Amino acid sequence: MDAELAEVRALQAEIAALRRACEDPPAPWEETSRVQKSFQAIHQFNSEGWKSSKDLKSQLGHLESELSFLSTLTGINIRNYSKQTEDLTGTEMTEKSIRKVLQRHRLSGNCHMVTFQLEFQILEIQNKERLSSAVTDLNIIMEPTECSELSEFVSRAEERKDLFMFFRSLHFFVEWFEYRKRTFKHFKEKYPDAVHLSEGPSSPSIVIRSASQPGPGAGQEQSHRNRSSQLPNPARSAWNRSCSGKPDKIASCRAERLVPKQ
Amino acid sequence: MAGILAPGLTRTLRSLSPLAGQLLEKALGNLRWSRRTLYVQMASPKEVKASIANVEPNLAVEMSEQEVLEEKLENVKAVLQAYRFTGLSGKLTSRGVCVCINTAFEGNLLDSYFVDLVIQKPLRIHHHSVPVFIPLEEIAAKYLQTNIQHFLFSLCEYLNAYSGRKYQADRLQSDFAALLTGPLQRNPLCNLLSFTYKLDPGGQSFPFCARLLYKDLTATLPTDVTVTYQGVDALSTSWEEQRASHETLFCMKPLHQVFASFARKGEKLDMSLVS
Repeated sequence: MDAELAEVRALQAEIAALRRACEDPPAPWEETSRVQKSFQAIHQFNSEGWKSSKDLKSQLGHLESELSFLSTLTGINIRNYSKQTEDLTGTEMTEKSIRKVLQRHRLSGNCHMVTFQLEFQILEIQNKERLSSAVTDLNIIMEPTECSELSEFVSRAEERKDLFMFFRSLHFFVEWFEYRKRTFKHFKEKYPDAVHLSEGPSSPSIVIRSASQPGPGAGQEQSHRNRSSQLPNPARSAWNRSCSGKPDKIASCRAERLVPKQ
Repeated sequence: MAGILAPGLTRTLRSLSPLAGQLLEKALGNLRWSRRTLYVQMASPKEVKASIANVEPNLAVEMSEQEVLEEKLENVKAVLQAYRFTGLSGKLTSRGVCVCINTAFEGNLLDSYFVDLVIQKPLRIHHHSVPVFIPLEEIAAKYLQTNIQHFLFSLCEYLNAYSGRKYQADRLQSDFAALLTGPLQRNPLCNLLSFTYKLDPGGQSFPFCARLLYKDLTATLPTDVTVTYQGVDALSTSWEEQRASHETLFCMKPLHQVFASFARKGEKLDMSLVS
């Protein structure tokens, strides 16, 4: 009895802490430790309930844990999936023991703020020696559509019919997009007069112009794209430090050093 | 059983033991359920909550709780199936998780490999189907304990590249055997290939000798290519030009596609002879 009561108290405290933690959304660079944590936690609870009943609710709970783990691991959240199969085996093929099946897949979901919808076809050909499976058509619709950087790798993936490359690139793109956004936002907030973002924090480039020390020609601007190699030396190291994504490192950059000396 | 129980109450509860015991069990069950749900929510972005709740509303008929649960279950099962198209999928096990890595090359879906992980401190690999020549221990030593995601992504890179190289070598052997003048020599890792070939199989010319080395194990194109031609007229410009162009081709395009272009050129030559 006492042990159980102690467990009740412990659980209540833990639940209160978890409720607080759920309020704050994690930053992208915290995601890796989140994968480790969720991994441990989900396993712990599943081992608890492993011997329990096969009822619908616990089945659903178990599968939801699995879904949550995969979503965190891949960085991709799939919401909907459906599939249709069409048997294309003709009578001639059956005689030669060849089987041809066309699968039509449709899936949709999101990766943070980017949503995607994929429609693709897989052709499966089974003959005596082997089974071959190939993507024969791949259509990807992305939202937001204005992001040109996104559409670059999307069209490459469609061309090469490379599903895996699409998902991996999407995950990395979104992660680094978030990093860049936070970095630019930090600079803008800290040095509002010197920093200019043409499209807000989601801009692909940052313009740094000193109000007090204009460049060699009046009104000349120094525009720095998100490529550290184009920045002058002191700025480059500052930029590299900031791109590591740790807020305390960003705070150590100083705007004065970012303007080249005359 | 909402609040924390005072000691006096505990004594009273003890006297009512069997019933209290049942209530306590139920409370513990509910608390454990809440805790698990919160962990699942905390561990995943808000969108996953929406996805879990994603059920097509059946407006015509009122659904019972049972039917709602069944539909949710079907949806979740389907979505779990779909994860293999991201290249990484898996199933939770009593020990931890069994991750499945799918490989593909240019739209061709190839072999899958699994890694069965045990959740203990330290995290360890229980068993796996990764070929012995893939540096699994090295990758695990670097990343497994600190960053499972990085470990799996890195392993994905190596396995996909190996699958891709193997696919190219297999296609060369099966589809273009007519152009090869000897057996294709290859190592298990498929990163060192050596073969001899002719553009005109029936012709009088000497074969070309090619050696392809893929130093980067995460790549499907070779890093070092050497093509030699040892015929008597090896120094003539036309042979030298061909030899050099072949070297470039092997560096830039997948192996079987280079041979496909050789085969097409051969067809063109035949046509010109006929007319």
